Amino acid sequence: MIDQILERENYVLAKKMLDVSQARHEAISGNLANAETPGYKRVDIKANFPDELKKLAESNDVESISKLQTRLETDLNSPIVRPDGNNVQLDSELLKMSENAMQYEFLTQYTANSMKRIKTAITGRVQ
Amino acid sequence: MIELNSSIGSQQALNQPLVESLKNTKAFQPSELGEISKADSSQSFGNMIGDLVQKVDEKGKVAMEETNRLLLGETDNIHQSMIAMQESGVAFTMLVEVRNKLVQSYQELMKMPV
Amino acid sequence: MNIMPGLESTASALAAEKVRLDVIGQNIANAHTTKGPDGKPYSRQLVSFETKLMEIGTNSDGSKKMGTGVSVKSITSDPKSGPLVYNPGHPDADEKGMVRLPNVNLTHEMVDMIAASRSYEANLEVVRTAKQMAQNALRIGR
Repeated sequence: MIDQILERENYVLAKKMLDVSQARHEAISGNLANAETPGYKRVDIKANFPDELKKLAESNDVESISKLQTRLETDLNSPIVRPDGNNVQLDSELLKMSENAMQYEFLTQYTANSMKRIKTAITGRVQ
Repeated sequence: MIELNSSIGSQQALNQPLVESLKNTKAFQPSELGEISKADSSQSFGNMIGDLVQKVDEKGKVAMEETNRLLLGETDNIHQSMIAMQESGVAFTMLVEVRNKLVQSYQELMKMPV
Repeated sequence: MNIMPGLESTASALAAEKVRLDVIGQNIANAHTTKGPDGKPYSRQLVSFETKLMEIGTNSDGSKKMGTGVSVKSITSDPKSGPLVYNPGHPDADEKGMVRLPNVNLTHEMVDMIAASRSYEANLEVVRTAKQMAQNALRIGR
């Protein structure tokens, strides 16, 4: 009974995206820490990750969404900004970090609201 | 405004599986109205409640495990711990409400004049 | 308890940038030191960074999660010699009246300093964001 309520696709997707968002934050911290290291190449989540996620979301397979693993990879497509081969652009990286933090906040809000709705539906009193 | 829209959307999304699960409980199958006098042993009410209690127990265990892992520093995902705690709370609330409704309906039944 | 994961790499970056700023400060302070303890004019110090793999937390399967931090590989002297300036009245002038100044170019040092402090600020921003994310996660229950 309780599983059908807690295994709605949106909710499972939001939970998985929280993991992804945190992994991305760690990757971006590593990039910013090495913004001045010669020869460093920036790291981010796999470039085709959004497409993979979209395919899984369309297939409505809740099990495989929760089993999806995030993978970080070196981003060689970013332009080299320094003669020593470092390709971390400080401003662009900071912007990505803010975006990511916003996404994390949205996901926590969504999860919290989902829970509140479920509780309201169960108890009949507005939480 | 945005919160209102999302809450309406999520409420609609919520109602769907609840309605589905209600449809699935044997007592409400319209095709079996004729057989309502027969005792249905494959999915009795008692089994359903037993299932629910087991699920609540499971969720409680998962929540405790996740919190332990966080306390011991074995994991970095505090959101998973928070979500696990919330889910076990919701499951428990559901169990309590089902129990309340059962007790209430039993009392209603008892009040009926014979 | 690892509530704000991934901060070890940021901490290493803050420490490394601080070292770099200290060295730049020393260079600027000694921009006109014509005779050091070894008798020679001051030689500009260069800081070199390298990526260091460090443990930033634990994965869900119990293995250690590795992140890329940064560490100071070495602080070396710039071997280039500084300019020779004609100044016969200077106490360190040689027999021709030329004084060798340190190889510190103030403009270069200022630009370096700005880059180092920008990087430092960026890493402080990372810490602030991580704290905000953790606070958001704690609000899930509310």
